[in-house]
This record gives sequence, C-alpha cells and structure tokens, in this order.
Amino acid sequence: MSAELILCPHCGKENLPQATRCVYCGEDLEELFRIEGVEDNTALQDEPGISTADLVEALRQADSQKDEKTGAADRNGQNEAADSGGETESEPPAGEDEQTPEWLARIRKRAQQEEDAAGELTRKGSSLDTARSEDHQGRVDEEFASWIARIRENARRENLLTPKPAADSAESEGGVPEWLRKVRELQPEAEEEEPLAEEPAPEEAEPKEGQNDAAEQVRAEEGEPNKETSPDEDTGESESAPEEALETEPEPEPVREHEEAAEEAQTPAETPEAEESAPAPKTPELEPVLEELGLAAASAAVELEEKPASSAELGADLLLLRRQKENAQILMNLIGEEGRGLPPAKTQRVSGRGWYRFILGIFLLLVLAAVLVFVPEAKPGQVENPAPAAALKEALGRLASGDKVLVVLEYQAADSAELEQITAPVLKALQTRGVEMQFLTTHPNGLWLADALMRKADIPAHETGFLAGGKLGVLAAALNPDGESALVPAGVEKLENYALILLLEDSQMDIQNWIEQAGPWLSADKIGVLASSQNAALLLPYYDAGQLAGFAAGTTEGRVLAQALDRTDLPSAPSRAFQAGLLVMIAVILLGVLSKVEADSGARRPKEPEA
Amino acid sequence: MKKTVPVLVAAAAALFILAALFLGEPLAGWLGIVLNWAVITASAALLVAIAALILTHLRNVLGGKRGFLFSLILISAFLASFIGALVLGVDNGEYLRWVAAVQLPLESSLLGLAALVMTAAALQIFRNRGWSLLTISFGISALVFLVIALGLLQALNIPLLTAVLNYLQRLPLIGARGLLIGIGLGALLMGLRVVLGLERPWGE
Repeated sequence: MSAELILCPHCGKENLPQATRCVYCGEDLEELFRIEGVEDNTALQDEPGISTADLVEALRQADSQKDEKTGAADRNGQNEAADSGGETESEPPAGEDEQTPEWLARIRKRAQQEEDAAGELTRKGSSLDTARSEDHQGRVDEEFASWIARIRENARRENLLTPKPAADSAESEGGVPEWLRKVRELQPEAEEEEPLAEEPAPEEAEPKEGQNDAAEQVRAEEGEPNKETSPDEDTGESESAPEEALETEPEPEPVREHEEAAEEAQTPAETPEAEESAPAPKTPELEPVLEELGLAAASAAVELEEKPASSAELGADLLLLRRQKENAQILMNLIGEEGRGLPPAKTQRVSGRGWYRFILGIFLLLVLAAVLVFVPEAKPGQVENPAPAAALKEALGRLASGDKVLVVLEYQAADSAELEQITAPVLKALQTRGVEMQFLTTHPNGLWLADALMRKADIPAHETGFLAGGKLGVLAAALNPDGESALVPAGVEKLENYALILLLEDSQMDIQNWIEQAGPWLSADKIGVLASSQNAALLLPYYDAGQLAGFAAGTTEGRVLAQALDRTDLPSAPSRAFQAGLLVMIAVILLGVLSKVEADSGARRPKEPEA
Repeated sequence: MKKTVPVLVAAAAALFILAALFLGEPLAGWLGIVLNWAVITASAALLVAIAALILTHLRNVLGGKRGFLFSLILISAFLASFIGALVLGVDNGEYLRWVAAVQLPLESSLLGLAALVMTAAALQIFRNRGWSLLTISFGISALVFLVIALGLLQALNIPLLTAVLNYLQRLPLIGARGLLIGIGLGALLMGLRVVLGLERPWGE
C-alpha cells in the first residue's frame, strides 16, 4: 500500500493518498482527494449503490486487515504478512538500518499506520460530506449512525457477558434454536417481509462441542473457508453454525451485509489464525466498491468472514444490542428534550386520603388555638432565670444614683417589639434609681427607634447620638481618651467612665463588634446585653469567658428580669405572638413528619401485591 | 506598581493596628488619627457606591429596560430620604416618624416572609431528604427547643424539670463555641493573608 502513497510537493515526505494536507508540514496537497487506484473520484458520485458508509467501511476494513496481518506475523515470528499481500508496509523499510530488528520495524510501522488511520478516517468523512447530495443525506446519516452503533457494540463484545453453556440453551421447543428465536425477536420485520427460505434442521444448528476443535483445526490447515464447512461438523466454539443459520435467515439484504462487514472489521483480531488460513468470501455489495477504490488487490487477503459465535454468546450479544438501541433512543429523547421546560409534575392523588390531612390540619389548629386561649401565660414569679440573666440583674442592682449608663441601640425595626418589651422595664427601673443614661446608636434607624423606646419605657426623652463608622466607630469610641474624637458624638465620654454599657441587640455581628473592638479597652463586667431570643446561644460563650457582665435574651427572660427589678412588665402581646409563632412552627414540623410517614406508607402499598 | 502599593498600604495599616492593640496607650492617639482616615475613606467609598447604584438604576429607567419601574421606585425613595434629611435634618421628629412609618412595616413583612420560608423548609425537609441522621436530629432538636422557648414547661416550676431544662439550654453553647472558634480562625487567617499580600479584597 505504501507504493501508492503520495509525496508531498513541499516537504517530499510520504502521505496517504486520501490526505488533503501533509501530515508532516501541514501544506495542502495537490490532489485534494484521491482514492487509491481511482483516477477520477466522480465515479463515486455516479455510482448510486455506493454510500458513504460503504466507503468508510471499506477503508476501515483495509486498515483492519493490515493490522491483523502485522499482528499475526508478530505472533508467529514469521514474515507471512510480506508474502501474502506483498504490501511494503509489512516489510522492513529499505532505507532503514539493517541492524534494526524486524519486529521493532514492524511495531514502528504499525504505530505510524494507526496514527494515520485515525486522521485518515476523519479526513475521508469530512471530504465526502461535501460530496453528499441532499437527497441521500438523511439516508446516509442514518446508515452511518447504525454502523457506528454496531461497531461500538462489537468492540465491547469481549468485555461483556461471559459465554453461557450452549448445551442447555442451544435448542428449545419445536426444534428451533434459542439463538434463532432471539434473532427472530429482534428482526420481526424481516420475518414478515420474507418467509423463511430454509429452516435449519435442529441437528444442523446444534453445536457439538467435541467435534469443534478438530474440525476447526483441519479447516485451518486446509485453508478451507468456513462457509463451506458442513454445519454438522461445526461446533459451538467454532461458531460457524450460527453463521450458517444466519445465512438461511432472510434479512434485508443491504443492511445485513453491511452489518456483517462491520462485524468483520472488528473481529479479525480475535481469530487471526483462522482467518489467515481461511480466506473469506467477499460480500457482493462491497466488491464493486473495493474495486472502485483500488482495494481489490489488497482485499484479496481480506477476510470478510464474520467471526463465528456460539449461540449463547450470539444471543447475549443480540440482547445487548437491543438494550443499546433502547439506551440510544433514551439518550436521543433526552437530547431532544434539552432546553425545554419541565413538564408539570403529575402527582397521583390517592382518593380517600384527603380527609386524613384535613382532619390532621384542623386538629393542629385547634390545639394551637386552645393553647393560646386557655393555657395561662407563665407567671414570671414561677420562672427561674438562667445564670446570665441573673448576673445581669445583679449588675443592674449594683448601679446607684449618679452612675452613668450608656445605652446602645443596635436593633432593626422588625425586632423593635421584642426588644422594647425586654428593655422598657429595665430603663424605667434605672430612671427610678436616678441612674444617668446616655443613648447611642450605630444604626441610622436607631434614631427614631430610640424615640419609640423612650416613650414605651415612659422616661424623659434623651438625645440619641449617632456613632458612624460601624466597627471602626466602636473602636474609635473605645479609644476616645479625652472625649474629643471627631468620630464620637458630642457628649459621649470615654467608655471606661461608664458604669455599664447596656447593649440592645438583635444581631450577633454587632455584639461581636462591641466585645472585640471595645472589650479590650474596657475593664471586665462593663458590658451587659439585652438581646432577642435567637442570640442567646451565641452569647453564652462570651458570658462564660467573662467578657459580659450578663445578658437576658427573649421576652421570657426579660419579664423575669423586670420582675426582679420590681417592675411590672409590659402588656404581653408580643409574648403571646411569639408563643403563637413557636406553636405554628411546632405544628408545621409535626405535619412534615406525618406527611413523610404517609408518603412512605403510600410508596410501600403498591409493592405489597408484588411481594 | 498598581499591585504593590495597595498591598503595602494594607500591610502597614494592619501592622500598625496590631501594634496599637498590643502596646495600648502609647499608640492610642495615633490610632485615633488612623481611624479617622479610615472612616473618612470608607465614607467616601460609600458615597461612590451610592452614586454608582443610582446611576445604574437611572440608566435602567432612561433605557426603558425590563423592570425599570423598580428602578424608578428606588430612585424616588432615595431622593425623598436624601432631600428630607438635608432639608429637615436627621434629628427632626417628623422626618424620623415618616421614615419609621415606612421602614417598620417593610422590615416586619420581610421578617415574616423569612419565617414563612423557614416554615415551608421545615415542612419539606423530611419529604425531600427522607429519613436520615441529619433530618431526624434536626426535627428532634427543633421540637425540643421550640417547646422550651414556649416557656410553659418553666412555668410548671418542677425542680427536676427545671434542672433538665437548664441543662438543655446550655447545649447550644457547644455549637456556638465551635462556631465562634471557626469564625475567629477564619478571620485570623484572612487577616494574615491580607497582611502578607496573598489576599487582595480590593481586587486586582
């Protein structure tokens, strides 16, 4: 085949005749697309029976045959490949060093051929795409897809299912072999189109294990094609019986022949010795194609015989092929659905179970209403505050008249109801004791929230300073040695001068700002916190570390704290609303659990009949 | 140069702050000055960010882009707040009540929506995730702490029950402490990366 290689006019190196560009220098070749032995490729277009798939397959066969020969020669340690085809690829290159071992030369040559083959097939496909007519394009695409699927299936054949014992499954009722029934199942349209021309006798189809090896060996020695072997002499392992039966099974001729050719292109590596000794008959459809392509001489040694397969293996392969087709169809459907919106979920409602949910929901709502209406609110005197709240109460109790307390508002409007209920009694108690309070906020909305808080606490209005800068502002306030910092509002003294800094917080970040930025500059027990209930958990570590004088979080602790300060807590509307919200959350979680249990029982129900 | 100078400034500022925190009073005055610079710079950056925001939405309105009505609402609210504060002053009672009348229901609604979302998530978690260690522990802990937060059990004033409740209420301390340690370590590492120039939060 190397005798037909073309030389690149630019670099002078050899290239395959189908190459459009030189593989060495990348320059365009003079002959855009020239097939071996064909001077004018317009003949291809004139030939209606030749499809792209035929051409691709024929070229692939040629490559496969080359590979097979090279591999066989390597195994036998003989130079058979050079004798059989006369191709120069299998011969050691004339110009090469004579000291190079022959096997090494072959390996190098084969590696080069495989590299070329990969690019060659792509180039051929792309070149022929331009020659396609629009009328044949759909058919060609369909055939090509079918070819690719079958070629892949054959490539996986070795790694898939292990062969099953053929003796038990070879024959079944009516004398029809199992593999034949599977073929009929997979090819029902073929049976409908053409009746069986010949029904193989059961004894013909039944493989005989004992005779197989000997007959195969004799055939290999005589160079006799398997096709001429009697089925009686064949066995399951020689796998010529299924082929014989397949020949008797009518099929759509072009498709079937293409399939056989595709399988042959993949199988030579599996049985190289048998194929070397037994030249296969060429498929009639491919003969003119090969002649047209100039591959007739090379294909003289090409074995187009399909690899024999045992009935069990063939059946498994056919079933695998069907599964692959189904998977391919599923994949095509998925690709087709890509980008489209999801279809509306089809929930199967089981009739008669709606009342169950309805009653459950009504029951939970009734329980909720009953708790809110009939259950008395917890009396503060009955509740013992946790240690942090008790510590805060002690810190507040130590304040005397004239002590300065800095009240820092750092909560949002949405939490104002809860914070006001906690804070108002404390502020009122401090006002009663004569404690001097200053108000500061780091949030702009704290300006008007402070006004609302003072009104709620029923204390005289105080001016509220705005500390800008967030974290930096807090640090600047802590560092304010003389009370002259431009960042700190007028009237706010050095933080150390205050007996207590009372933070009104609903955000963990703001609490951290004060503890981490101002805390190092302050003595211990200077910071107390009144916070919303969700901050209780994150305040505990700071309290345990001694960074907080104490804290009270949530309305319950706030009410107990107010009771301890001899103040009556505010009307408890937020507390009841808080309880209502908690009850709703409890009911919802219980509903989720019950819903899951119901779904599980519904899922088990359809499985029961199967069990 | 563009990359080096910001790194040097950030590293110098960080080292100076650290030194001031460790040394205390000797550097406190200088620290105040540096903080003034930082606050002024941050305020200017905030103004730039506000200007960019307004310009973006102004372009949306002028270009008639989709959703330009929301941009129009944003610009109107900003101008009303800005001009009101300029004219009346940020301490004006009327102005503060006007802002409160808008902000309070909005924030409350937002918080209510968050509660609804969390409720829906609690309803769906068992269906979507099935029975697992995570979902079961979530359900049990949520129910226990919701019941405790109701305050009804504390009102029973049973000594043994109170002791159990106090113990349970300290359980979150474990998770909170772990969370704070994680935050602290993360902040420490991030600070070191900034000081060493490995992290550039100001962008390339």
